[in-house]
This record gives sequence, structure tokens and C-alpha cells, in this order.
Amino acid sequence: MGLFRRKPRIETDFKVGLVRRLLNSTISAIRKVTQGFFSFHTPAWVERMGSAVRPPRANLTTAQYLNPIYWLVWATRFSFNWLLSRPYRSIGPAVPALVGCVLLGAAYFELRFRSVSHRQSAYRVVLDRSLKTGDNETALVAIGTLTDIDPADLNLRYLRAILEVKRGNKDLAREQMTRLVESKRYGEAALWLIQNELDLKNMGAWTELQHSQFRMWTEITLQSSNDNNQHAGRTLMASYLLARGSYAESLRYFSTVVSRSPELAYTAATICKHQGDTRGVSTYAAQARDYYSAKLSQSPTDRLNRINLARSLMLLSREVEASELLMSGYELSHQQDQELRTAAAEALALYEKRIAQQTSSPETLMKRLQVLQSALQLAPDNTNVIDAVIEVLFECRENRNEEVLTLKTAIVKGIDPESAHFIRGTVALLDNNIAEARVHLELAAKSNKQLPGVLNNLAVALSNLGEGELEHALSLSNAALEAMPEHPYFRDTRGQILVKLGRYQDAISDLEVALKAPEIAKDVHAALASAYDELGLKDLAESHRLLAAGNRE
Amino acid sequence: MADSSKRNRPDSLPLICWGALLVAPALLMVEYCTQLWRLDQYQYFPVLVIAVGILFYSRWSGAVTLPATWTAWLLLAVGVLSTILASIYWSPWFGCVSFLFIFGAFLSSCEGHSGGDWGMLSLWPASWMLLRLPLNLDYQLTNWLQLNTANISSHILDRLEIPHRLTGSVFYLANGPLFVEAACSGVQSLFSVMFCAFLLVVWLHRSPILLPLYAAAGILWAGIMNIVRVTSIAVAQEWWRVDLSHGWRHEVLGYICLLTAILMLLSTDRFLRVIFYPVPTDRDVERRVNPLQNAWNKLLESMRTEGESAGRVVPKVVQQPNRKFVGAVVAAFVCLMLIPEIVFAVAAWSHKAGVRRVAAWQASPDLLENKIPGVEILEHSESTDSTNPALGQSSHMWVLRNNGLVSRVVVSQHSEVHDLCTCYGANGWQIKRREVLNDAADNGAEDWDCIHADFVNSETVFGYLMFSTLDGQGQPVRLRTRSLSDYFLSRVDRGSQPWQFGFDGDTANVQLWTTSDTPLDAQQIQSLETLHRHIRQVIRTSISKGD
Repeated sequence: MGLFRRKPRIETDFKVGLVRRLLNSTISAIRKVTQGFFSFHTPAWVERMGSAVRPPRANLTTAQYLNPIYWLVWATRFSFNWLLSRPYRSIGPAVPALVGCVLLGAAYFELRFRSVSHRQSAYRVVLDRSLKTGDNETALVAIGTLTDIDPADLNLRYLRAILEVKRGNKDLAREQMTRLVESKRYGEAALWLIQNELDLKNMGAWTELQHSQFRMWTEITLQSSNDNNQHAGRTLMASYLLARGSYAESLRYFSTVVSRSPELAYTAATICKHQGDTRGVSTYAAQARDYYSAKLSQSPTDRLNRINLARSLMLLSREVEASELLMSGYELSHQQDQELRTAAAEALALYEKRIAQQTSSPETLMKRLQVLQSALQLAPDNTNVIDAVIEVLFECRENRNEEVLTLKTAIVKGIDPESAHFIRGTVALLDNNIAEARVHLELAAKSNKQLPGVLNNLAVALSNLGEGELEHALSLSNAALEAMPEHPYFRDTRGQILVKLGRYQDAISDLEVALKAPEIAKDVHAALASAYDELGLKDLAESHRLLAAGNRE
Repeated sequence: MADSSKRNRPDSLPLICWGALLVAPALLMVEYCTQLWRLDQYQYFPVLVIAVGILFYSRWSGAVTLPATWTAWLLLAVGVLSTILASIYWSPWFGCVSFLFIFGAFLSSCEGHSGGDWGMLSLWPASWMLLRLPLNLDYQLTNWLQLNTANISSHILDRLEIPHRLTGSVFYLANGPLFVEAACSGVQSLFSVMFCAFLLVVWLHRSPILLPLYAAAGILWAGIMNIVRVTSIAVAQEWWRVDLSHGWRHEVLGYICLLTAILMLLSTDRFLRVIFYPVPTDRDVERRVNPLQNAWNKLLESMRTEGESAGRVVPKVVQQPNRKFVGAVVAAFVCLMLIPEIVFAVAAWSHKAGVRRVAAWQASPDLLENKIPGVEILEHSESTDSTNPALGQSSHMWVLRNNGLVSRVVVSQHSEVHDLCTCYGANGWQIKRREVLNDAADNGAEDWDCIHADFVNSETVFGYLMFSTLDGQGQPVRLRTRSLSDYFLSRVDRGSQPWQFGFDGDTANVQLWTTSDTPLDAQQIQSLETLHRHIRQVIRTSISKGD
């Protein structure tokens, strides 16, 4: 026939032949199926259609065309025919498109009718989980979505700003917090701004803008619905007013927060003391005592609690108890914590002062000397104690009572020679015994310590010895001021010396600084008056003279 | 035999006439195609030209007549009229319209091997995709699609428990944002997929009646593939830490999606073919009289065939025109059209050659320092080579404070007029008001359009956008492109610069963007307007000088 046909090979290996046959039949089956699947199966009726798809000569009348019943019949017949005549066998390749459309429709339907609250709760879970695991990035994404769902939830925006801080974007956080405060008056954000944007430990250095910011932010914090924020706002306001010197107003805020923050009771008590409110002192000091007692019983080695408890006791006029408490702390520290020992001495000095204010009998004097002796043993270098000793020694300079004399001698015997000379010198100076004062103070000044107080007092003593010693006195005063340049007493000393030296302009600058200490204001005004007089500024001199007289009155 | 008949063309006049007519808008087409090539989403057009060419060659019998059918005459008339308008007003887009109509007229005058009742004209729809949608409708369409697909993608990601935030069309995942750069460019492959759909209709001889359905299918699959693309990138990033959003992986994913969309179009074609298959006529002659059924079969007869030849289709000649007359008219028309085109083209291209590209403009950081009273410059940054995708390819940004309001000034470069409202819309800002203001109309100042738009976002933050556009030489550009009448007005009213190319070439947008937690009052808005006016003048001076 001319048609080439391959002769069937006789398989020697039956297994190989079987595999090959199986493979071939599988391939041909796949080919058959796929061909069948992808090809378009033209229905048999199509072959018969021929020209039938073209409209037959229509013998329809206009009335038929206008008759809706005809159209209904035609539409029904057409629908029926259409439904029956679809080449359904060929729909196979259309399945992906249909599936895709169905999936899209389902997704769109679900999107259209999904529950917002369900999505919200799902993202809340994500947020909580990411916050717990410290996954800030996911938390931020969750917050973003939750904010989109509920824009009124300001807490989320606040949380977002906090997370930005954690991510190191403090500028962005500040911007977000400021927005929350300025447009939404959100208390928590205002509190954050107060705590992070203002140097609360250095309120004195604030600008006017910072003051107004603080007031505005605190006001917003106080209006917050959150109790914690309100409490924090009141506490901040109390501290702010205290720093500004508005004690009464500050106390008003403290009184509202002490019950919840008993650690503030001590501050409230000191304000009451300043205001002369003894009842308030005892109330708040008792609260502070109870609070710190409880704390101390929990951790007996905590020195801060111990000191605060001692301070509270001192406000309750229980200075000896306070001193003992501090000393027991000193013992607990294996005699290492010298500050506790010093504080115990100061407590005794305070006790001595209270006794001095109560009565002035010889027995009282004896008791004061005994208390100070104890205090000096504890802290021989402490200024407060030494001041108290000087004061009491000056008071009893005329007292020739044997016991008093013995005690006076004993007091200064127990301490180092320099301090003893300083005390004796200062007492002599106060007693206007300049020569003796000079001897003692020079001896005190010869020590290595070169205490500024010693130098200052020696300068005072020398300045009273006539013009010849004024330059020496000035150099000593300068040395004292090098150590403590803004000390009003020391500036007063130098100012007075400069007046005597005729350097009035230099003197005025020192004396004006010395006016900061009201207890020496009388003498300072008098010196300023004479300085201005010498400079020919009579009006200023007169005003200072009047002030000096006023102070005298 | 067919080959010999194709080569044997004794009458060359019709071919010469058609060739001449198609050349008439040639210079406009060159300009149009140059502009089109700069837009990523239209870069398929060379493929379109090749595909139409191949189809034409494979279906054309080689014979062509002078326009001799009503369809040919009608298409030619529209084409000629469009060419005249396009040449006078130098409108490349209208040039493309005229070319397409003349091409349609040419096709209807060609004799084809196949093509059903429509003859060679059935090829015409494939060429339509050469024409860009006017009035920025293409951007609006792609952005609409992107916003919708982004919503569905977001829902799918929710179902997959991938935490994310959707702002406009930008996704924020824990590992960073996705598609910032695409936020104001829409679905890139939309028109490519639509072109494939049109090509499919032509290639498979589907009824042109179904063209809208195929176009819709193209939009649908472009959207679905965008969902797939977005979801794949997010899943890969979150589950496997694989970045599919940049580099070759992104390209491969894009091509896979495009290929899948084409396969899905084929699948859709099968579905439509089953649905729109002819309905058999009843055997009963009486029952065969059904106008609905007859109309259906008449219109969709081509769905019966599988692209096979339906026999030679010869145009139905209504009347053969006078050959000499036609030749003379065509020659005169082409000459007349080419003269203004050449004049405009030479003027335009020489103008363009002298224009400094905005991209080359380098702003000094202190450009705005001490130029505007009462304004404090807080920050300046520069973005080149898309380092900040949100700000375009090349931009300068200043943050400044004016009357207590912090605003952002951005000068960004674009390859054409770019409506920033679209970008902000795609970034999650809902537009509340948009109007084009002109200083000349308001207070007799310079004729310079400025778009003012108010926005609000999901966190109830209010956004205020003001922007004006400059061309490469620092000249103001008209922005009235929201309605067809505005478009023609801007074409006709070109003042002293008849070849205003800022419209079609490189532009710089000078925008002022301000956000506020509370709505701004009239005084604040006026202050912003004044500020924007000052800034754009400073920028304009700088670009004009070429600083």
C-alpha cells in the first residue's frame, strides 16, 4: 500500500514491555482527556443549524411586535432554549475563571458584611500579645488598625506614642503627645509631657513658656477622668506650688493626695510647720511616722526610710527618739554610715534648741549643755551642732556656776583642738573680746582644714582691730569666699571690710548679695546706706537707712 | 495562489492614498508615542503595534479599495476632522484619535480572508488600546481598582492572621510599609491585561458586541492578580521573611501574575463562549419566529466558530468615487496637515531642547531661608532616585512653621501633570473639597492655577493641600483638566505661548501640605494661601534661573 508501518517488536523482556505499554496507554489517556477537556465540543444541533441561525423570513405584524404577551412568550421560549442548548461539556477550561470569580465574590461579600467588632477584638488580641512579647512593630501595626476602626479611642494613640518612645523616636512621640493634648485634651498625654518635657527637679530655671506649659498640662491632667492621672496631677501641682513658694496653695493640693501617697505626709508636715499650723504638723507628721515605721519594719536596713522616720519624729518633738533611731541604724551599718551618726547629732541639736525655746532656767541650761555634749561626741565637725554650742556658750559666758563651768570645759574637751579654738574664738568674738577671739581663731585657722567659717570669723575679728589689719582681713575673707562664693554671711563680711577700706562700689555688690539672709539684713542695710552716702547717692542711702531702721524696729 | 494574488496589485492608487492619509497625523503620533513611552503602564504599545501588524498581515488578502462603504466614509470623515483639530491645536492625543479613525477607515476598505461580517474592521478594537484615556481617567481607574483590591487583600490578610494596617493603598506590616511607591500610580498591569483581552477578541474572532465584557474581564483579572500579588508579598514577608516587593523577585512575581491573568482571560473566554453560544432554532417553523432568539444568533454567530476562516470578506461597495479626484484631495489634505504639524513640531522640539529638565534643578537647602517673612524653616531634606518613594522620583522637602502652623513644602518632579490629590487619596486621605483657583481671576495677579483640596483621615486629622505646577522652564501650567470643556479651553487658550509643553512634558509640583487636628479657620487658610503663593514664586524664580 506504500504506507510504512512499523512491525511490532517481539519483546524479549516481558516486564519491560508491560511497563512501556502501561506508560504509553497512560500518556494517550492523558492526551485524550486533556484534548477533550480543552477542546470546544460543538453540539450536534449546531451542525444542523446551517442557515437556521439567520432569522427566517418573519411574517410578524406590527401588532405582534407591540404585544407584550408575544414578547413574554418569546422571552420564555428563548430562556428555555438557551438553558438547554449550552455546550456544557465545554465548560471545563472555564472552571478556573469561575472559581476565581466565586472566590473574589465570596471575599467581597465577606468584606462587605464582616463584623467590625470581630476584627477589633482580633486586633486587640494581637496588640496584647505583641505588648507582652515586646514586639513593638506588630503592636504599632495593630494600634494603627484599631485606631482606624475606632478613631475615638485616644488611649490607643497614647499607647502608640509610648511605643514610639520605646523605639527611640522620641521626637515623633512628643509630636503625637502634643497633638493629643492640644486637640483632644488627653490627660495621660499631658502627664507624659510634664514628666518628660520639663525638668521637674529644676523648676527654678524654667522659662515663662515652660511655666505656662506646666500650668496648661496640669490643668488637663486634673480634668482627666482617670483617677491616677488626677492624683499625679495634684501631686505635681503641689510640688510646683511649693517650689514657687505658694505654701498655702501647695498645702491644699498636698492635703488631697496624702491619704493615697503617705510618703508626701512629711512634706505636708514641713509646710504646716512653715505656716505655723501645729495641728497640721502633728497630723501629717504622725501619718508620715506611721508610714515610714511600717516601711522600716519591712526592711530595717533601709537608711532612707530610717532618716524619714527620724525626721517625722523630730516634727513630732521626739528628737531624742529620732536620735536613738538614727544611732540604731548606725549600729546596724556596723558603724559605717557616718551620715546617720551626724543626723543623730543634728537631732540632738534640734532638741537642745527646743529646750532653749521652752524655758531659760539654770537646770535647762545644764540640760542643754549635756545634750550638746552628747551631740558633739557624735558629730564634732557638724556646723549645726557647733553653731548650737557657740550659741549656748555665748549665753552662759557670764555664768559662774561650778557645774556649768565644768560642763563648758567638758564640751570643748571632747572635740578636736581646732574645733575647740573655733568655738572659743567665735564665742569671744560674739562677746566682743576681739583679742581673745583673734588668738583662738588664728589657732583654729592654722590647722590643715582651713574651714571657710574659721577664716570668715577671723576676718571679722581682724577687721575690728583697726585699719592696719584690714588688708589681711580682706585676704582671709576672699579665701573663705573661694570655698563658698554665694554665702551671704561671708559676702557680708567682705562687704563690711570693703566699706572700711573705702572701696564702696565693690562693697555694694557684696552687700546686695548678703541681703539674701534676712537675719543680718539690718547691718547690711546700714553698711549699704553708708556706702551709697560716700558715693553721693543720697536717695539710695536714705532708703537703705530707712530699711535698716525698719529692721531695727 | 493566494500569495500571487496578494503580491499582484495592479491598482496602487488606493494603497498610496491610504498610506498618505495614515501619515497625515504622523508627527503628532511621534510626539504622542514619546510621551506614552515614559509611562510605565503604557509600555506595552510596541507589542500592540506588532500584534496588530501580524494579525493584519495574516488576514489581509492584499486587496484594498478607496473608501467605498458608509462605514469607511464615516470613519474617514471623523479621522480627517480630528487630524485638522489636532494639527491646529497641536494635540498629540487628538492626533492619536485621528490616526485610529483613519486606520479604522483603512481596515474597512481592506479585503480580508476572514473576520466574519465585520471583515478586516474586526481588527480595529485591538488598536484602540493605543489610545490613552483622557482627563486622567486612566489614573482614576487604576487608583479606584487599587483601592478596592487593597481592601480585599487586607481582608484576606486578616483571614490569614497577618497583622497589618491599610492606609489608602499602602500596607503597613511589622517589617515595614509596602507599595508606598505605587500609592499614586495604581495597578500597573491593568492596561496590559486589558490590551490582552482586546487582542483575544480580535484574535479569536469574538463578536465585537462582547468587547465591553472582555474589557470588564480584563479589569477583573487585573484586580484579582493585584490581590494575589499584594497578598503573596505580604505573606512572603511575614511568614518567610522573603522580600518580594523589590528587585528581580518582584519582577518575576509581576510577570507570573500577568501570565496568570492572561490564562484566566482564556478561561473567561471559554465561559463567555458557553454563555453566548447561539441558541438553536426550533424545528417547528412557526416557533422559529422569535425575534429575541434571532437577534441573539445574528449578533453572536461568531461565537460558534473557533477562529477559522469564514471565507473571503469583500467590503460592500456603495459607490466608487472618482479616482483622480480622491487622489488630489488626499494629497492636498496631507500637505495641508503636514505643514502646520511640521511648523509646530519644529517649534515645539526646539523649545523642548532649550528647556532645562526639572530633574536637573538642584535646590539649595537655604532656598527658602529669609525669603518669606515670619516663616521659620525647621527642616530640609532631599530625595533623589526614589529614596523617599512617597515623594516621587526626585524631590526637595522643607518643613516650616508659619503662624503656629507646621507645614510641609515639597517640590517634586514628574514626567507630566500630576494630580497630587490622587496621591493623597491613595495614602488614606479622604478628599472633602477640591477646587482650582486662579490668582488672575481672584485678584488680578498672575495667571497661575492652584489646586486647593481639603482632606480628612481616619484619625480625624484634617489635611490642607495647595499645589501649583511649573513646566521645565519654570512657567505656570494650566491645571484645568477635570472636565472635557476645561481640557479644550486649556488647549485653545494658550496665550502668548502656542506650544505650551509644560502640559505634556516634565513638570514640577510645588505643594504646601498642612495637617491639623481641628479644622482651620478662614484666616489660617488665607495665611496658607499667601504662604504658598510666596513659596511657589521663590521656587519659580529658582527654576527659571536654573539655580
